[in-house]
Amino acid sequence: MVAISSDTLPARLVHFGPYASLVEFDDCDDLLEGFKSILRGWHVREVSEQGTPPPIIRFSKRDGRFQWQSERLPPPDDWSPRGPRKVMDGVADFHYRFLDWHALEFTNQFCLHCAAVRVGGGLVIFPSGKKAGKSTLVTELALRGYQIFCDDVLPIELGGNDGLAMGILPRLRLPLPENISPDHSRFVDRRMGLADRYAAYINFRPSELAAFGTTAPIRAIVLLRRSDAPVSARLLPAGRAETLARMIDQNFATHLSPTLIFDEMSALMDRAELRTLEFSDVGQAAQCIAETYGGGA
Amino acid sequence: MARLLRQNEWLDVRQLEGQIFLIDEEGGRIHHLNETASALWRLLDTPATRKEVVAEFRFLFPEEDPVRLKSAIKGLLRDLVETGILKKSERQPPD
Repeated sequence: MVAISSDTLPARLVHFGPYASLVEFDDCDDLLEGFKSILRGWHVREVSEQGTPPPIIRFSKRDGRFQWQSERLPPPDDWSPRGPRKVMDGVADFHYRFLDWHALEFTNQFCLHCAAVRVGGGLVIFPSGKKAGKSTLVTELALRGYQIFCDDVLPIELGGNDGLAMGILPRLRLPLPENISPDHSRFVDRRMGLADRYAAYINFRPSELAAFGTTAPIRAIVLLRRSDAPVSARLLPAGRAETLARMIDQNFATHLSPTLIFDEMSALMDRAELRTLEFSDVGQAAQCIAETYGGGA
Repeated sequence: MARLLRQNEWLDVRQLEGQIFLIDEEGGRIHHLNETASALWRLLDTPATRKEVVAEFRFLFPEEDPVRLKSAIKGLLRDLVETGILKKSERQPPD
């Protein structure tokens, strides 16, 4: 048997779907395979031709740690001065910058930080802040037969009303909340993908998670208001100003004019129902969404 | 000479349900003002000194502890100046 030093292996140049730029993985097969494992509906292909433009990101390894080199995308916040050692950390960080890259590639879209689920023919989106339970709620809705579009970021075409699925597996924080159902807990255990002790990507099937490029109209914008005290889940009217403030806070398409963003979000609100979902139990919250918008999954 | 605080005239003001959103095209940001910041913004339709702003808020909120109110308003003014929502200028001498 001949041992091949990784130093002698050429770097892998990889195209992701329709993105014009490439990413180079130099001695980072684990990172590439880890990242591919969280994508759904993406055509990921390696290219070998010379003369391609410089990759948008070059991943390499030094002393067992991932290194980030890019002129267009800053390194993830935690990568300085030393990158992560674990594949899960590298994938999760690349995941976030991947979404920034999407915003650079598609200047005809703006991106909302939100979760989105197709319920009754349209998308119900949850533009909520951190730790509001978005990922747990969309998992609960998937258990009821509804298709997840995203648990993190939803691109929306300018001048339109359709959300675009990014085809990225939802990532749940661990440990799971104590008040989730045994079914939910078993589902997560069974479908756990790339994970560490703090978070796990969940392997949803195609019927449960929309593939990259799938679109659907946005029908409702629902702000999440999770209560620590027990309350019955219920949908309340939400004000336009409160909803807009939350959406602006969660928008990150910074390459677009803020006036354009403001007008796009205002138009989006004109076409959608605006609600606040007050809840303490995520199962009840999902049931409330299903009964209000579902009409059969 | 006390410096006047005034609204940044380059911001595009949008009002929705009584709440104020300020669009900063140059800075690439949208600011949403909370209730207190909105009241302050409206107060500065006419430029005023920090002392005048604090006095006005004392008049508007007589039930509030004056020391805490002054400290809160000073902090808010500082934040609004730092984010470019408000500007400082010299008081013009009377005609």
